[in-house]
Amino acid sequence: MRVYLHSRTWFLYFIMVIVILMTFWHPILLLISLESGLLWWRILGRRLTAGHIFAALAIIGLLTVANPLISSNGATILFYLNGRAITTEALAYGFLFASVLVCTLLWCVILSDVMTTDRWLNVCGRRFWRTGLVLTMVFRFFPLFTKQWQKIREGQEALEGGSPVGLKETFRMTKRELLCMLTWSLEHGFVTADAMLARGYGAARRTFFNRENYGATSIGIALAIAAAFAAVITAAASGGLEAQIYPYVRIHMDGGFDILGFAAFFLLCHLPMISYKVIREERRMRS
Amino acid sequence: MQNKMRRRRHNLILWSLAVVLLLTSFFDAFSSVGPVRRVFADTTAERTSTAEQLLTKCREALSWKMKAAGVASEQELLDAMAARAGRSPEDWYVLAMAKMGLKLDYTKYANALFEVCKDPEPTDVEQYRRYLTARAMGYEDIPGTAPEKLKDKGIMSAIYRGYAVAAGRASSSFVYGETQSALIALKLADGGYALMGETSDVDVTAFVLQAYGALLGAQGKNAAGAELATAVSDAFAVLGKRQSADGGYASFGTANAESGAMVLLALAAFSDKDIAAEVRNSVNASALIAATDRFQTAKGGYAHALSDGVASMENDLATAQVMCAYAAYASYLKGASGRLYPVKAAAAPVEPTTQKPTQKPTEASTEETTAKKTEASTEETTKKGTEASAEETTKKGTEASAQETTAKGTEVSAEETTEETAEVSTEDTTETSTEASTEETRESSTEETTVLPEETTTSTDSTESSFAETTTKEDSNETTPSTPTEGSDIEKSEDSSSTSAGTVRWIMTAVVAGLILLGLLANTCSKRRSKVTYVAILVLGAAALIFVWMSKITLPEHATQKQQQTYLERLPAQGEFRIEICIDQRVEGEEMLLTSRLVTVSEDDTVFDILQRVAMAYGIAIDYTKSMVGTVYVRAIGGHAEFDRGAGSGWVFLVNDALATTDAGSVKLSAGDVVRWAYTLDLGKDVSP
Repeated sequence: MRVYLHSRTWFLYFIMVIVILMTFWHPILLLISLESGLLWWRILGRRLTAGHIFAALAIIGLLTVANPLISSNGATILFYLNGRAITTEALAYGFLFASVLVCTLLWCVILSDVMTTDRWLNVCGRRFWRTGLVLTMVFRFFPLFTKQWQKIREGQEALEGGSPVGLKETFRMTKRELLCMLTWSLEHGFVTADAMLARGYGAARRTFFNRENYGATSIGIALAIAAAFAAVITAAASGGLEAQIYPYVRIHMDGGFDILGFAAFFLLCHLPMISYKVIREERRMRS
Repeated sequence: MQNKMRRRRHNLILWSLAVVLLLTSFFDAFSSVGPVRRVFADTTAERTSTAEQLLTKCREALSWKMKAAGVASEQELLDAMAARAGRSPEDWYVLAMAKMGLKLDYTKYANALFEVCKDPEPTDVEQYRRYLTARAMGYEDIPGTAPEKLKDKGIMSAIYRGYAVAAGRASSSFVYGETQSALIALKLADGGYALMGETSDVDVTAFVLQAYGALLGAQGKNAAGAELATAVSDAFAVLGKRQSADGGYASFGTANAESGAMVLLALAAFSDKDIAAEVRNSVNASALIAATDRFQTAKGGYAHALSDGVASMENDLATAQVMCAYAAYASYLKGASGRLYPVKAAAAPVEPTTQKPTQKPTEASTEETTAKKTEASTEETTKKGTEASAEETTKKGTEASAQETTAKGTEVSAEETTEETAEVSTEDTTETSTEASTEETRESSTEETTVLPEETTTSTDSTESSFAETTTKEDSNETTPSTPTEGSDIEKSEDSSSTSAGTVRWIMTAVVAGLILLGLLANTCSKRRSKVTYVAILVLGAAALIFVWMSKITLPEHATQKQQQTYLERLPAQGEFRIEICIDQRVEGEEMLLTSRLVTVSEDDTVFDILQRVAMAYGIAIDYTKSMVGTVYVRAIGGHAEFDRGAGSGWVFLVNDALATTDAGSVKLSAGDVVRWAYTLDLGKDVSP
């Protein structure tokens, strides 16, 4: 069964997950998001390599060690390093911060895979078309730029007969590549602008074509994840989901609201996965 | 028309009657359930009236005592009792009078009490009670050994210790925990406590509960832990079982007033938020009060026991203890603290006017400069006191107080305390000298600090290096404390536990090595691996390793807490002042990180230097930023940081109760200054007096 979800549902989904991830800093929420994030990677056909794991561990390790060096907040002193107190809490804070960072990066990769250009345009819709246009162009800029640079480099290497040797040579090559990029950018800008004009950009009555429409599933899922989000917020507001680091590390787990929060976040993360076939197909078609 | 009105009124009356009936039937239905009945019965008005009745009883008993002593006023009674200050019934009377809130001049009694406290061989129990009495009168400190340092011998000592430690506010949670677990360890199988044997005793159990109440109140429910909560409910269950049919209590088979008073004191020691209502309700308090009232004689005093069902002969101790219990319970009913000492006194520290309390304790705190002078001498006298007792251990003749401990127990404890102090003082002088010097040479070879005589390094150096140097200096010429060295009061623990510091260094090395390995692996697995990245990782890793091996690792001071406490005592009396770090009780229960510490200060010490030193000595982490121009901003102390509780929150400091207007690094101090670091919620507006 192929389930289509509206772009705005997707948008809502990612915003909610990332907001919860970045505001609550709760280890168990992080674990849930990690699990669902890895599931998404599978759906998207991405492979989790050893390099990813090592990089993530290196980031986490580095930040965990670095935080106590710049902050000695905390109640439990482990030892003094050059007179600066190294505390358990600062270590814990660094660890949690790095974990949040890694999880957020993971989810941003998923977001960029799922939220394609047309989805962004649909999110902004007829009303905020200008915003949508700017957003998509901005998002498109960097990949386009690097791709083009790679092309130019290959061309130059073919001309020169191999990659440059020595610092001077590299510098000369890079300079030339940069000049090429500059002319290409100017030219590409003209081409794009002409193409936009030819398609009626700036005309008084602008048409907007949207293939998507709200189905019952889209609305249902949107409502469900909104409810889950509200449940997480409620659980937090009623004293659940509290992971305190300062003055000392303490994770309050008094049942009730905590379990509600975890369950709601689990649902929130996993519900839109019912559309996995569509997303997988999209990925295959594009690559 | 009028007829109709009347009928309607009639209807109204009928209806309201019906409603009242309905309501009362509801109430009856509910009242079969215990807790609900309490809710309806314990209205505030009822509580206040009961409290007033209890206080009236107290006043009656006091008037009996005044008549018996042949004095006209309460003040005269107090002054007359000063002749026997520090002894059993008198202290109880003073506790009761203080708890009743009588505005009296306690100076004479306090003076006498402090004289007694100088007793070189105190019975531990007596010393605790004296300490408690002094605290109840508003004095913070008494001469003689501090309550935390007296040795435990027997359960009564443990109880008083718990009470006194909570009253004095221990300097760290460590002391609370130790005291608390010592008491819990004495718990019998049925949940009660006894002087000896396996049958729990009502008086002792109630007494233990009072100590628990004090400890719970001082620490807060969460910090005290579940173990204490269980012990409390178990003990209350025992008391509930032991309550006789008339509501009273019996000890050794005889119904008596004192046992009931003790149980009432135990009930009063817990505030409503400390323990659940079910736990409190295991003892029927109103029946207990009614039963205790039966011991009142016609003259107003209280008898120990009934003879033929009538209270005839008044007993001093019974009267005093019942007064205490009533005053405390009345205070609890009014919503205030039912404990015997002023709980919040530590928030506004009272000067320990121990030698000559010439002023009333309430005024003492305002007149700091005069009191300051006495402090220095106090420090010395206490020191002398302990030394003297060290020499006189062979002397006997400890009069054990009749109820509490045996003479043997006290002797042993006296011996032990003195042994310990002697040991510590010798340790302090010798242990550091050899190892610290090797430490010094190692340091000077690795770091760029030159091997110069100590005099060249002054406060301009970084604090940690000056710590090391001044410590060695102090140790090498201990006998001549010629100049007030700024780091002299910091005990370095690296020498005593250098192996642990080494371990920490190796752990750090392992962590850095692991990180290097991870980085290399990540680069190898990456699609965009490059030689430059490998080199960068290796260079950075090597730099990190060099940093680890060049830096000075010190273990926190609270590992050697014994040393910490003694170093304060052997301070030279140069320029002394107090530093106080507090989290205001509005913010965190009644949490206080550090109260009233005497620290030596040299002339060019700034507030920040002192904070750093004290924090290091007490194992409190501080987080600060130092700007290029030398201004210091303290972000966090002990895990409580700026902006933790709103946009206006953070740490500010007050010098002599005046909110500082500049940064801590630029305020110089002089002898007699009082520094207070406070956590503000509103940019300092809420902490300045």
